[in-house]
Amino acid sequence: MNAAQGEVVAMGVDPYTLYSYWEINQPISQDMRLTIYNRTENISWEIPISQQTGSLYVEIGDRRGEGACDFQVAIMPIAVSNIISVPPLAPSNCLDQEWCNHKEPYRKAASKEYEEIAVHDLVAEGATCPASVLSSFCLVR
Amino acid sequence: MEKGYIALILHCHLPFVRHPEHAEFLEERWLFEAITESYIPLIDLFTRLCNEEISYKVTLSVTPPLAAMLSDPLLQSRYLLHIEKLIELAEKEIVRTQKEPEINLLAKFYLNEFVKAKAIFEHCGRNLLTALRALQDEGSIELITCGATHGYLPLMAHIPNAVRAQVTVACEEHRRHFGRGPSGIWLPECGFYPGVDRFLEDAGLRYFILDAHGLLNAAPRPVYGLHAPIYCPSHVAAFARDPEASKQVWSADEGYPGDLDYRDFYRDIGFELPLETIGSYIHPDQIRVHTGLKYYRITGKTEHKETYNRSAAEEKAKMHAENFISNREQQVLSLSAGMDRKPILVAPYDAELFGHWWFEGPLWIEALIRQLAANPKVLKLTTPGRYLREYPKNQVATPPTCSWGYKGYNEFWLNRENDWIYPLLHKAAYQMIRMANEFNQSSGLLMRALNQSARELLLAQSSDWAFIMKTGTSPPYAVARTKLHLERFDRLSEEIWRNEVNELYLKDVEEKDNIFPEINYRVYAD
Repeated sequence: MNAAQGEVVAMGVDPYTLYSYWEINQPISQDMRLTIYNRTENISWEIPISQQTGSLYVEIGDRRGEGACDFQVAIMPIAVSNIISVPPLAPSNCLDQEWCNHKEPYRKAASKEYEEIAVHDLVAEGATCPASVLSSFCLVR
Repeated sequence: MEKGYIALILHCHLPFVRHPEHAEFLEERWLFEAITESYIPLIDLFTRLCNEEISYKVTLSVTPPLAAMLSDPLLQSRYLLHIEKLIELAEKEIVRTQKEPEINLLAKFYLNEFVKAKAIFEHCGRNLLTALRALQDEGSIELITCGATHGYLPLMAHIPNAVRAQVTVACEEHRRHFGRGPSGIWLPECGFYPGVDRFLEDAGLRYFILDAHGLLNAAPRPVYGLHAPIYCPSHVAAFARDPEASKQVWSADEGYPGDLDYRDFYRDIGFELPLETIGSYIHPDQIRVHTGLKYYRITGKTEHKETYNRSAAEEKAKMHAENFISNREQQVLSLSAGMDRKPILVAPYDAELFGHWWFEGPLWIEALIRQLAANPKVLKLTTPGRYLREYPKNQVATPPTCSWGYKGYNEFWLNRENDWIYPLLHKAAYQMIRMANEFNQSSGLLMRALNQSARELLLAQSSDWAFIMKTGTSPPYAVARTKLHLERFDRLSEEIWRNEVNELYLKDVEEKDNIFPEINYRVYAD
């Protein structure tokens, strides 16, 4: 592979989507593919690309596990992207033995149910940074 | 002895907007409105509480672009003109509303507020940072920093030098403005990705804030959930936003700011009075804007609005503070029963929410502090830095990529409205790194051009432009700013590589984009 032939970049959107853009310094043939690698689960698949597009949103939510995954994309044999860490779909099942031995682990928050509710609420209700404050400065007529 | 802590964190940020090439510029009003309605009222209340020897601890993140604007002589002199015009407008309103006693009372109230704002501004020598620094030195306020231009770090993660520059320049600017390095950082938009903590550690930062799901989804699973920090592998601590505390203030439906007795944000005389009356106090192109004189309360969901009653709103703010404390106390009592340490509830908000958006917000904060100081048996204010000093041993875990934006990840800053900016920003960042490596020993004109290139790149990276493109509130300006800084960057870099720096052009952009006067472009070098 030759870096001068082009580059491809991967960026995470959310646990279900990644975004990739590329710049290829040669005509893209009809059978050119964007290969998506789930490096954590060792899975890959391909999507046809065209010269005109230059970028693509890719659905990646269909994963075997729920943990964080490393993803990478490539246009072979021209360019391979950076690796991105895609967030997990659920809280970690990995427990810290040192801290679980504490006198009274924080049971309520540590329970999966609580965590799922908390995460679900945040996502569903949008109880996150409101667009209103910065936007409110921009209000003119 | 208290059973737990609450950390009130106010994120003070506006993008760098400064246009010396225009006598008056619409978007500069963002800063002026925030100074009058949020920053001065907050500084005023924090200072009064100190003078009364009321004990409190609050964390303020003051972003480098905001600090640059607050300390800029041009913007300071323009703010003075702005507040003087508001005083003039309020005086005219007192005459105009003579036959409407309730409205007239409010006009007098606004006149008093504007006169007070001007007095505080002048008392600070026109530089509000001096007041913040005094509050920091007194010990009540913990000042922290942010990305140099609020650049959204997860979307530049594959260019480590660019991330490092955002963090390093921010810390250096903070030190220059406030006389000491920041202990913590507000990651722009709470945007975290695994590994960014290494750059924070290198900059001497001890903590940052995550949204709740960022900490809950860390691996291994945090045993204290949201209510104690974790250490990242770098040993930089991550604190998490408490959703309950957030919701009561942020939520459009359930939050305090929507109370019917509070002042209505939208009904402003800038939009309501005829142009012959208000024309001199809005934008010179007759673009209607918020003046800050608003006479009505929220009242209800219909167009019918009743006159704002300041006394009733003040009482409501105190009640809401009491309610907030009561809810947090119940939380702390419940949590502390199952924990072997005092829980911490982290309550972060945009500072501009208080005063600008929620007019009574500063009253609510003042009531909160006074009530907590009067009765600290269950709950006490603290800062993340203080909490870490009390509990230096914490679980080690790695949070995932996350933010506090819509749906909790990168979507708000990476979508079909703004994705076109990233190839351009990344290309410019790589170019900056190449120049920093190639011209590592520069001096004179070349060094100035390299430093200005770094400023232009940083300004183009501001997350605010992508944010505004998505919200659609002022997209032409956000697009223009992104393109403008990239164009300036491209021209400078072409001249640098050709060794033909045009000093006249360089001087022009140095004067316009004068942020970070002490920047060293070598921060981008490998």
